[in-house]
Amino acid sequence: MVLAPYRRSGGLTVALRRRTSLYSRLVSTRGGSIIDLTDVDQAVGRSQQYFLEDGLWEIVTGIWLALTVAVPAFVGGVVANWSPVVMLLAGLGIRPVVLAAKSRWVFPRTGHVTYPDPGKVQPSRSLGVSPGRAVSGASTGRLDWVWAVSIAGAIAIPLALTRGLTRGDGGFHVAIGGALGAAFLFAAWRWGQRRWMALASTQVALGLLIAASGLAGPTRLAIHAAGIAVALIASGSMAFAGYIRTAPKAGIDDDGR
Amino acid sequence: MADDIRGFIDVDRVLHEPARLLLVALLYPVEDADFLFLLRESGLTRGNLSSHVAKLEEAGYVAVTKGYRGKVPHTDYRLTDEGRAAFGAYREQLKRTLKKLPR
Repeated sequence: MVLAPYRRSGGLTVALRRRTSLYSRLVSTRGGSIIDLTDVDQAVGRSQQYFLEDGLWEIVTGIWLALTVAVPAFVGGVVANWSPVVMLLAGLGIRPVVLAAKSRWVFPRTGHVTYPDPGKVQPSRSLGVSPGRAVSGASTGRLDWVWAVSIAGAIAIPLALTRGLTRGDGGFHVAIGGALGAAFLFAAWRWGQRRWMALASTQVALGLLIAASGLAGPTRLAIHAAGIAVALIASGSMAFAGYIRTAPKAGIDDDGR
Repeated sequence: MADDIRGFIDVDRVLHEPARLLLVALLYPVEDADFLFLLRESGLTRGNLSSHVAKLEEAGYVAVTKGYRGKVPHTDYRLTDEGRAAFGAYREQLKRTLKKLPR
């Protein structure tokens, strides 16, 4: 348990921070009112973490990556040429599939939450803690970071393929591995998903291994994409298995009447 | 009374209760959430949760929708525009007031 410095002002309890449940953090041991904005912000962030903690989005994203990048890269030819288009179009389906899976396996156990549609322009509800804020920049819209990865991948992968074919350069894979590693590390810190630290390390190692493999460009790309997909699916599956193990069985009466 | 802590006196009393503040914070970034989610995340008892939500609803900060999902009764809670504005204002007020306090 970590205690933050305790301050008084005019006899009023100001802040006493404890690493316990959300509600416990909001109530001081002396029964006074909380005024710890960090804990209030963490409560805001908690609703957003809920979307990420069961691992379903990683499983679906891994499958999407495998089907839209790895497989076409292995097959090659016309299929590979159309891959970026398929990747973007299929990326539209990630969120609906994840939400459908949550409705089936997650929400009946731990509660139903409806998240704002990231495609709609709307006032920020983030208070600075939105998952989309890291990539939306100055935009007034909400850009799901899965979209950001999709767009970045759709631009980067044809470039990598072209570069790999013409120059046999493995440095791009090191760059991709490093970029993904940094992204997952940031995400792990930002949204408190510690398993993403392992995912970050995996991405860096994968990039280095692929660059050092000496394989031809298209094969290198296919294996790299397959490796990222497998890492995502493995990470998500472990998280989901852990969630199912610890979450209560479905069917608990939600009656708030 | 010193101006630096006057902000505590003028604070929104509906939100200045830890349980209600927590519920509003959980609802803030989402469109809506159901009773089960709020129950688990807040750690409150059912009675306590219902009581605090009723106060928030009375203040116009939360809208409640009751229905069914299949055969399971369901209660969804959504923060109103007024509730969002109140939460944002409460947070900003506290931030300003806390900044004035001596370290």
